[in-house]
Formats: sequence, C-alpha cells, structure tokens
Amino acid sequence: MADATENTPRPSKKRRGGSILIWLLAAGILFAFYESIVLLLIGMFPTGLAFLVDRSPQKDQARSVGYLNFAGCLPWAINYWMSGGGFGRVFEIVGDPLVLGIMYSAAAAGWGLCFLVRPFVTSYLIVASGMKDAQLKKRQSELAEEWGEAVRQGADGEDGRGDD
Amino acid sequence: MASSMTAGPGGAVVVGDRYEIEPERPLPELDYGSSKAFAATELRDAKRGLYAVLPDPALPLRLDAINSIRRIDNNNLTRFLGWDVVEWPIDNRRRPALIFERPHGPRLFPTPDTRIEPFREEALVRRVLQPLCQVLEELAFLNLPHRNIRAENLYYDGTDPVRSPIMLGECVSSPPGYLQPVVYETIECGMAHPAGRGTGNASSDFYALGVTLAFLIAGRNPLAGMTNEQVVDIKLAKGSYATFVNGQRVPAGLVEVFRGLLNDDANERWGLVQLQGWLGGRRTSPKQQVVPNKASRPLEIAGQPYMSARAVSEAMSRHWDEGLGLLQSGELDQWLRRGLADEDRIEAVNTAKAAGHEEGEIDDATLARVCVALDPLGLIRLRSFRAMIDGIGGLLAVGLREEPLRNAFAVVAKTAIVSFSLEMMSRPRPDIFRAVSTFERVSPTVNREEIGFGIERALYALNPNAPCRSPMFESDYVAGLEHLVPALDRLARTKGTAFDSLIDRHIAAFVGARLKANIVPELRELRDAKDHVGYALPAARILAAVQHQTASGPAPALCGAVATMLEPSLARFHNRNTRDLIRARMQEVAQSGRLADLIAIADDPEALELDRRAFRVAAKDYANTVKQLERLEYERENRAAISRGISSQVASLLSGVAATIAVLVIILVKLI
Repeated sequence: MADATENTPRPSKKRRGGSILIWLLAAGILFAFYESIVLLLIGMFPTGLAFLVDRSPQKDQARSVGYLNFAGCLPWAINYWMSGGGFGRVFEIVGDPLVLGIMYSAAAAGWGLCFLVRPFVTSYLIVASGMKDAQLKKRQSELAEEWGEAVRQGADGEDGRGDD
Repeated sequence: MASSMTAGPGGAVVVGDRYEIEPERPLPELDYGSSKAFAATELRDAKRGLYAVLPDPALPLRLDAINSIRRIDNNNLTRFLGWDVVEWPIDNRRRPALIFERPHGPRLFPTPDTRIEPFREEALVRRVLQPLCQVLEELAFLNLPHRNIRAENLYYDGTDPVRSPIMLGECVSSPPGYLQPVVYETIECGMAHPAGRGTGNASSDFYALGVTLAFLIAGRNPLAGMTNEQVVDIKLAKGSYATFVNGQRVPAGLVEVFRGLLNDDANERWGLVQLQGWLGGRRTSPKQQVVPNKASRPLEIAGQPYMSARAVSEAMSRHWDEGLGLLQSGELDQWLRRGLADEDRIEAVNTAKAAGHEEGEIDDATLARVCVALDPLGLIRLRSFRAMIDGIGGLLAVGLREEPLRNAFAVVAKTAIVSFSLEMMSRPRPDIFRAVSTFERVSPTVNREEIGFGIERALYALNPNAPCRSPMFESDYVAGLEHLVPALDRLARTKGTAFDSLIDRHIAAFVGARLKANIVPELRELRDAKDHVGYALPAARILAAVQHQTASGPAPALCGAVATMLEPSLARFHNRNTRDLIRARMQEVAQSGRLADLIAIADDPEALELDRRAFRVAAKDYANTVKQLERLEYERENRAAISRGISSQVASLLSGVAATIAVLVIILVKLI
C-alpha cells in the first residue's frame, strides 16, 4: 500500500504564502483598529458564546445569532468611528446598559429565530414526507400493475416470468 | 386432389368434384381381400361405368405408383382414374377411395376354387399372353411392377366369355404382393409374410404370369386344397415348373414359356425381352432349372424329413425353438457335413455363427443368420418376422401393433442380419442395394427413445407410402405430409377446447421422415419440454414447417387451438399491455390460418428482448422507490434532529437577510 503521506498533497508555496499574508494582514488590522475590535468583542460576546455552544459543523445557529448581533452592534460602532475613537469612547459605549441591551437583544432575536422557525419546518417536513410517501407508493402500484409482481424482486432477481 | 368433404344427393360421396361413390350400392363381385368395391359414376358422364375401391385404411396405398399408373392408357389394364380421401358414411371415418373404370364383364376366377373351361393354346396366347405382355411392357417403361397378377384379377371385358377381351385388374389399392395367394409368389416371397414380400420387380410379375397361365390352361387352381406351407414345400421339393406343369396337359408349344416364366432362379427367369421374342416367333430352349443340392440323407424337423438347404432353412424358421436346438446341439452342422456335403453352405453357416457377439452363443439372431446362409435369396426370417429385404418396412407397417413382430424387428435392426443377407446373395438386384442402404441408415434410430425417432421413425422412413398411424387420426387418413395439417385442423374443429395435443410420437416420426427441413432442434425441445409451453412452441414450429413445405392451405381452427396452447407462453412477457396486445394479435392472425405468422407473433425474439430490457428499467425504477421509501422512513425516525438542522439553516438565512436590511438601513440613516 502506498504511503498515505505520499498521496497527501503538500500545501503549495503559494498557499503557505497566502496564509502568512492573511495573518500579517490580520495582525495589521488588529494593531490599527484594536479599539474597534474591543468594542465588537464586547458587543458580539453572545455570538462567541453561540459559536462555542453550536456543535453543528456549519454553525448555523451561531450565524443566526451573529448576523443580528452584528446588526445590533453596528450603529454604535459607526458612532464610535465617527466620534474619533479612543478607549474612553469604547467604554462609554459599552458601559451604557441600554446599548449593551440592544446589542444583546439583537443576538437574542437571532437565537429566538432558530426556535421560532422549528415548528414550521417540522410541519413542512411532515407534510412533504407524507406526500412523497404517497407518491412513491402510487408509483410502486403502477409498476406492479403494469409489470407484475416480479418487478418487486428487482432486475437481478427476475426469472423471465411475468405475472398477470 | 383436394380433400373431398361434400356429400352428394342421396348420401353419395363426391370425390374431387368429379366422381360420385354410392355407399348403398356395394359390388361384392369386385371385392378382394379387405378392399371393398362400390358403384361409382362420373358426374359429367353418368353412362361411364366406374367403380370405387375402398381399401383397408391400415394398409399403405401404392402412392408412389398411383401417379405413374394414371399415365397408362391400355384397354387390357383396368384404368385408374383418381383417388382421394373421403368421409365414408358407413363407418363414419375418413378413408381413401380409388376410382377405376369398371370392366364390362366378371372375373375369370371369382374365387380361387372356381373352375372354368381350360384355355386352348391359341386363345391363351391371343387373349391373355399378348395383351398382358403389352401391359407389362408399359409397366416396364415406368419401372413399375404390377405385383397383383393372378387369375382372380383378370376380367372379361365384355359379356361373352369366349370372345371378350381379357383385362388385368388394378394394382394400386394394396401393398405390392400383399393380396397375392402364396401360389402366385416366387418361393422366397411365398415364404415371407404377405406384407413383407416387398415391391419386387418385373421378374415377380413374370413368375405370377406363368402361374396365371397354368391356372388358365388347367381351368382351375392346380394346387387347390393345399395350405400355404404345403405350396411352399412342394415348390421347394420339385421346383415351380415341375409343380405347375407336371401332371398337367400343357400344350407343347407353351412348354418353353412355362419353363422360362416359372424358373425359380430370378436371374434365369424370362423377362419382357424373352417373352416378346417368343411372341414374335423366336424359339429357344430356356435353361433347365438348376435343381438345388439334395442331401444324401434328410434332416428331420418337427417329424418331417428335409433334403435341401432351402427346405431345412424354411423348416427351422417355422419351428424356431427346434431350429435353435438343432443349431446348439450341432445336429445341423453334422447334417451339412455328412448329408449335404455342400462346402459353400457349410462355410456360409460357419460365417453366420461366427458373426454372433459371443463365441459359441446361439440366439435368435444367430439362427436368423443361419437361415440366410442356408437360403441366401434375400428373405429375412426371425420367429414370426418373415420379410424380403425390400419388404421389411412393409411388414413393420402392418405388424406395428404386434409386440412379437416389433421385438423381432428391433433384433433385426440391432444385429446386422440385413447386411449379412446382402453379402450372402450372389447377384443382388440394384434395388436391393438401395433397400439395404436405406435400412442401415434407418436402423440406428430404432434404439433412440426420444420423440421423432424409435420404431415409429423406422416405420415411416422404410415406408414412403405408409399413412400416419397416430391414434389422433383414428377416424381420419393422413396419406402424406400434405394431409397432416388439414387433418389436425379438422380435429381442432371437432374437439374444440378439448384439443390439447399437437404432435405425438407417430406424428413427429412421420414429419421427421417426410419433411425436407431439419426438425432435430425442435424434436430436442419436445424431448426436453418440462411444461405445456415448452411443448407447444416447438410442436407449432414443426407444423408450421409442414404447412409451408406442403402449401396445404390455411388451417384457422388449428391456428386457434395453437393460439390457445401458446397462451401460457405470453407469461414470458412481463408487460401486461404487451401481453394483451400480443394476445389480440394472435387471435387476429389465427383466423388467417397461417401457423408461421402466429408463431412469429408469439415467439418474436425482438419483442421479448425489448420487453426484457424495459422490465429491467421498470425493476430499477421500483428498486429506486424502495430506497426512497427507506430514506423517508429514516427521515421520519430522525425528524427532530433533521428539523433542528434545517431550522438552524433557515434561521441563519432569515437572520442574514434581516441583518443585511438592518445594516443597510443603519448606513443610510447615518449617511443622511
């Protein structure tokens, strides 16, 4: 058996380079906008929590929370950018319970959507499943009616005899 | 001639739309043996005197001779006009009927014991010998032996027995030589069963002519009161010439004729050339008949003494078990060495014994060979089986239902007695070589048990004239292959839904022997058939081949029955609509009466293949639905988890949309 490592493609130089660039860029942004990032970190704390709690690979729940959480943080982030910045401003914003309340409520709305949507989805699944079931069974009856009971045995099991 | 089905007014049976037979008017004076005669008329000429002969349906007609003899136009031979298979009201069955022109006078000898005024030499030559010689000349031209020449088959062609011409009766309504009393047959043919005398050749006719002349010269049967065995014995002892001529007042001028015609050596016997020469005035001295070797002392068999090899052969064959005893005890060998002292016969007998399968084993086959060795003129004898080489088939045809004859035939077929007989003959006729060749080609089939072979195949292969003896045709007559499909069609019409059998052993053998096309694959399918469908299709194919080769016309009732029998074969088609369509087409085609068309629909390989392919697609489609249903079941069982997953995705989507709208609104507001 060939060595598995021989078959694993090694990251190309280009990819490694690109990755380093992104990290450098990230480091640069962090260094340049660390105050905004602190603001967003505090404001989007529920989103971080949601990422930790959500075990699904796609992290849909976390995204649902994150999108609305971000929308809730954005007005104050814009305010902060328009006010000139500074850590004082950041703590002023996040120190206001109303602001935090709005930010966290937006996140809660995202979370609430997941639970709100579920019964509708479940109902849809039940109906769709029922319709599909009936359709498939009807098709089976039609096939058996036209081709006889031997069609139930499958193409491999057929013995050349049809039933009437 | 097309099959005659119509009945004329008053119950008359119409033959070929040309002649009419009157079942209420039998003509016993024209009967002979099992053949019955009835009055007949020609529809277009009622004044013409005709009669019909209805032979025993179990006996083969001389179909091979019928077409030839129709061509003979000779006033001294009963004119044959035609034949057909007719619906006979007396026994309610179909049987052959042959139409002849009726002689204008009675038979010369209504019975074998009749006495008439003896013929004088001049009258015999003018009224009998010359006309019959002309008839024999015409028959020789057609290479057709008459084999029915006897005094009882001569007719006055007028009312005056002194002046009326004399004509010879017919010869096609029975197997050759079958109706001949033993007295008219050569010694070897006289020893054979009447059905086993074989077609023979013109030499047999000239011998019979000689005997007939002897009857006419004497005005009676010179051997009246003798049994058949006694007739043979006296001929063996004295020779035929001495038997018939000695003690009779034979005109000196005719001695030469009798000596020539009654020579027991077929190679020395007079034929057409010699007789025509004599009639033309040429006189020679026919060779004196060579008297067979007589032993110095007799061999006693069944209390009777026998002095010649031929006589001993015949006696041993009549007393078979005693013959076996003589062979086993060595008494025959002793007599041959010390009594007969004929080295040729001794060597021949030793050869016959050595041809047995085990050293010293004496069985029926050995005795049969020994009989041939002692009397090597082409007669095969094995217990009750007694036939000339070219008569073996004929005897089988008549004796098929008798188990001893069937068993004896099987022994003859298995042990090379026939080829041994040919080796023993010093100057065999050319047709004997053909007969032996045919027999050796046919005899291996006797031991094959499968349908289409066996003793039935031998019967039809050795008897081109034999009608089909299937029990299905008990009330019908299937003379040739062209009659088979119409006969089955009639049967299907009569039996209706009870008709469920197409081909039995006899029909399969009959077709196998007569049909030009090779039906061995179909016979194998019949042999291997496990159900009705496996039987019906190959059987239908065989009959379709017969219908095609013989052009015997449509058979709608048979086709309808075959369509019903082939109904189960539609189960091979999976698709119901296809089955219904094919069924409808089969019913439609069945009305046309063409079997080949019916089979083409029921057994269409392309349609079958298409159906098979479409079935595979349908089966896959069904399997797919099963998988999907299983998938649905899985989803049903895991609905909560699936619902959660989908809900999250939907929520994520809705959240994304709402967030986007909110972001846009916020940015717009901030900008404004």
